[in-house]
Amino acid sequence: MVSETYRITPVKIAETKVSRDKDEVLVAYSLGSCIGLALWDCKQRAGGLSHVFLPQPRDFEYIAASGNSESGPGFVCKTRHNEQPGKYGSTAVPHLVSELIKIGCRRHNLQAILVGGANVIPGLSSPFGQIGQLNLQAVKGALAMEGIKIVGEDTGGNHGRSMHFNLNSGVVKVTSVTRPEKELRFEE
Amino acid sequence: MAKILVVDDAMFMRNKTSKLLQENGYEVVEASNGEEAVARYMRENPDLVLMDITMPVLDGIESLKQLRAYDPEAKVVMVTALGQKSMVLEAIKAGARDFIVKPFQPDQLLEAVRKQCEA
Amino acid sequence: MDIQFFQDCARLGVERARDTVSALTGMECVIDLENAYFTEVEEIPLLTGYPDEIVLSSWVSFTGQMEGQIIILFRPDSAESVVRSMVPQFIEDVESENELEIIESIVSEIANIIGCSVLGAIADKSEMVLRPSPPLLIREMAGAILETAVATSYLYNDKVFASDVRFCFTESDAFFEIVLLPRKGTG
Repeated sequence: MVSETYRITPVKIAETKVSRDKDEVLVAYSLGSCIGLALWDCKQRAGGLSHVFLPQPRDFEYIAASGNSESGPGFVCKTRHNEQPGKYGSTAVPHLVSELIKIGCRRHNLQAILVGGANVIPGLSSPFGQIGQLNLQAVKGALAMEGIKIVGEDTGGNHGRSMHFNLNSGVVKVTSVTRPEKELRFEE
Repeated sequence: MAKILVVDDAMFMRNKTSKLLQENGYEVVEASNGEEAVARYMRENPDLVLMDITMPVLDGIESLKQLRAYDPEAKVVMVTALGQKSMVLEAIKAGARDFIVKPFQPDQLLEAVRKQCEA
Repeated sequence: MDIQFFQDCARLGVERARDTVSALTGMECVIDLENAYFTEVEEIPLLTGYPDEIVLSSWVSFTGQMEGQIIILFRPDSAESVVRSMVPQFIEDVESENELEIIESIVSEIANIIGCSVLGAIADKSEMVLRPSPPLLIREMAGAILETAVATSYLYNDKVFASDVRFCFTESDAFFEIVLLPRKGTG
């Protein structure tokens, strides 16, 4: 996967990156409770990755990326003005969809692969529950609102993961400290 | 030969302390948390307990209280990294005979054990 | 409790930790790098520089008038180095098949002592009562540990205070890091 012909683009926490570059591999490192949300358009061979940190903003109202229009975003992102939409599962999804539409993807071709949402510190809990699980619910809920199918996931458990998303092949490689490498594939 | 119950959740600490005590002529039994300590105390009836504080299941202070409730003559020496003044006071109030803060020198521990076993 | 208070606590804690580790290992331990941050919660997992680096980490939570987490990070070869310096005789005696288990047990205990000494220094100066949990030892990517710790505890906080201190030894290549995440407590 990581060879001289590929350019690695890291996607840090709360960031979102989209690309049509067949030589680009989008990478989310050390996903613990975070979710690496990968969307791909197999016809365009273009896709994007959001590195989701938390489920939803404190004052949240879900407004889907425009249900009817392919041409532009119709959503309202209710994060605070200096926050990146990729930070929250509920805002990352419509944001990523809208960014992909901007680079020529079609909403009905988009598929999702999810990685992460683990609890690597067993014994740590919040009054709200396990953050990894909450992130997963938020992302899945938002994907359902957008009508996007999840074609693969490697989530939950107690181990951290890194994901490498090859935009050209539609393959997501998942690595972790304690588990063998795993491959998830988007559908052609 | 006095029998000592060594209570610590870290295997390494139990091994190290047991080895030191055995080399100095003491008989040793072990427990890895406060709940196990109470059960072993009832079964083994040791002369002295060396008790860690931060442990899962039941911590050392709670275990001390239960031991003293079961046996008001129980001799317990706290051996812990948690050396805050408030913790020392709480342990003494609950009936601990002495309080040793890790890291300790072997002689320090042996002296404290000798003092309690001869009393 | 303001940022200055947390910074003062962190300073007290790390100085005590340094002295404790010097006493434990018999090697002079020094503070190599010391940083305090008050930053967006999503910046915290990037503190240690290489989020995907595999570490042997001890995680402790504490409660009291101040609460929070103390995360001690060892790179695996550093952990072994620190352990060997502390108990060279002990290591020579053990069977090789459970050597890893023994090293991890020792690291866990070292981390317990360090964590308690950090809290002890703060408690003695401030007269607060601070109760730590038993340490949890985790072998994992540093970023994954930090992000889980921070996301769970600071869900809706904009900014978080963090102290990140790197320690090294004058007589060895070993080093380790302590990340302290304090916040105002409830009791």
